[in-house]
Amino acid sequence: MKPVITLSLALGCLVFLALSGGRDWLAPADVWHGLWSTENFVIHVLRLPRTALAVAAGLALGLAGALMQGLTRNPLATPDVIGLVQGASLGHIVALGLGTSVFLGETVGAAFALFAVIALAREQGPIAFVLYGIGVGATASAATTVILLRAPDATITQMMLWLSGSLARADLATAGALLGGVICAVFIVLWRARDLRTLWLGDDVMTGLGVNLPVLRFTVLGLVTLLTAGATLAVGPIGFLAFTAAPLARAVTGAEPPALFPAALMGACLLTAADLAARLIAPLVTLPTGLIMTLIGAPYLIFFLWSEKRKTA
Amino acid sequence: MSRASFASILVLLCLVLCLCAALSLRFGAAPVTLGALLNDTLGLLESRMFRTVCAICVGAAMAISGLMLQTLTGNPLADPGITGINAGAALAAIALAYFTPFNSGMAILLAASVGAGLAGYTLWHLAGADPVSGAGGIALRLPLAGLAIETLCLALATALILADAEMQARYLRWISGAIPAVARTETAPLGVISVLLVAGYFTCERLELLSLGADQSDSLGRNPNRTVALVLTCVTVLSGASVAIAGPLAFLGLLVPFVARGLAAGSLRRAYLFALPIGASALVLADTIGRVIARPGEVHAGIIAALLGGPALIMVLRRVLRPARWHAE
Repeated sequence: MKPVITLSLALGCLVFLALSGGRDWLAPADVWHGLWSTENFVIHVLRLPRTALAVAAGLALGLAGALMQGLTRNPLATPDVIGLVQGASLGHIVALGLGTSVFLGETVGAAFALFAVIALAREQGPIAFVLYGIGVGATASAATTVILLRAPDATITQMMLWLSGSLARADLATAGALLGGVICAVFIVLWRARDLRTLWLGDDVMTGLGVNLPVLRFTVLGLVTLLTAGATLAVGPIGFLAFTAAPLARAVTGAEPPALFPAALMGACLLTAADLAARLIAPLVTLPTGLIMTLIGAPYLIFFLWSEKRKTA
Repeated sequence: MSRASFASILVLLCLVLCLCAALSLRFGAAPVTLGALLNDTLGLLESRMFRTVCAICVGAAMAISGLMLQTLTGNPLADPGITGINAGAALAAIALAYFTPFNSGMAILLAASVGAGLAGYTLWHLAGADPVSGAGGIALRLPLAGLAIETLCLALATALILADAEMQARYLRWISGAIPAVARTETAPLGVISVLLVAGYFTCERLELLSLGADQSDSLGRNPNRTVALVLTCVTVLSGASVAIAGPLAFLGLLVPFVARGLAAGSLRRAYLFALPIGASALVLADTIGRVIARPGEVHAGIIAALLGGPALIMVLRRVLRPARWHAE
């Protein structure tokens, strides 16, 4: 329980900071009053939607990443590394072209990518899972680029911004819907909490404890797909967030391995901080938040590989 | 493999290359009759010739740089696209265009080579000299380190470009791997590629010795460190030069060496000679297809390569991860 409380407090502070920071800094008292009076333009139109969306998407991606890492018992198998996010963005672009519901497109795209990876890597171990995931992700990104280049010029700039993960066009309705989805996911996780805690013990032990493995797998994979699709819809394909959230949460708070809720909170903290950084670094240019996230996450992956290498050497 | 069958395969591959080059000269985005093309009143033939030469050089360079990298790391997934070396070169070239007024071919070539070299050095430190681990001798570290380097470099490049709308338009065309049709700054890289492709053949012997093990190589009179340095230099300059011409082309260096090694059955020098025409024909063909399928516009060769490349990666994985290696002799 302690890690969750610590991270919630940290998230609260970050949200407050994100609301007061930007091109012009607001005094804490102004922020507090601005929150309750609906006329405050800077807070209610500019900063609150962005921050709410960052929190919701961060929660969703962090939770999805930790669930996936727990289910596969592989720290590398997260939705962004194994191609789910790329599949979702391909679905997004296709749905835009066909004029159907974007969320449906994203869910189908993510589910299709997940299914492809599972089918390809069947019975070949965790390494094959990640490698096939990288391949599926690369295929989906290439297909996205092809479709994008055939699009009219006006859409290209807009889609480029979305593809690099921007929160510039955030609105409260999307944030609310996503937050609702995350809360539903949290209830499902709490409901299956006992089974989920056994994930790290191995298939044999889990069967011995009376866990219905196929049902649990299906539930978790479905949750991961929906959470990824929702977050990608809201903020674009943000890389490395799901991958870094859980290990960072564990490193900071010392939570036990599945660390689902600490990971979700850490994801929210990371994305809120990245969004604040994007606004502070370049106030006049719309610097995509996904870019900042990559600048945090990719060095972390390099550090991860480097420290693993030192461990084996 | 007997000498005769080696020679016949090589001749066959060269014939295929000639055929592809002829197709690339004949067909383009503008439908022209053969007579008009030969009279060449519009300068079409000249620009198509230049474009074909570019595609041949870049295709061969990517294939060779993939082949050498794969032999050096002992990892069939190492290709300059996946490992992030191309992305490093692209980042350096964009940084050059953004921060400095230099835009001559030599300057871009140097910057791209330095970028590729830095990315290659980082990669070697993160994933090189890795003991064989896991499924079928494929270390997971290399593609992961490559993923990290690639996304980091591309993100930084995007950050540099975002402020500038004009650069954004140019960058989008270049990053998607378009083969240039008009000679501007490409002659210097083309020359460097041709020299290196010849010179690279003579490093094959050292590289084969090194793949027997560092000690073996040392005792046979070839310093392993020098081999690594030579090969990495060759790989990075080849990548840098091809990126300077055609942008970061992914995956060509993955599939072509895979086919070439399968054909050569164990001999690196034969694989080298096979990879040259296969790589060149593949890129020329991709470029021609891209010009024809979407008239009057074009789909850039790099996108066709990437689109084929993802499935190619999956296919290579399926071959290599399977317990029995298909090309095991």
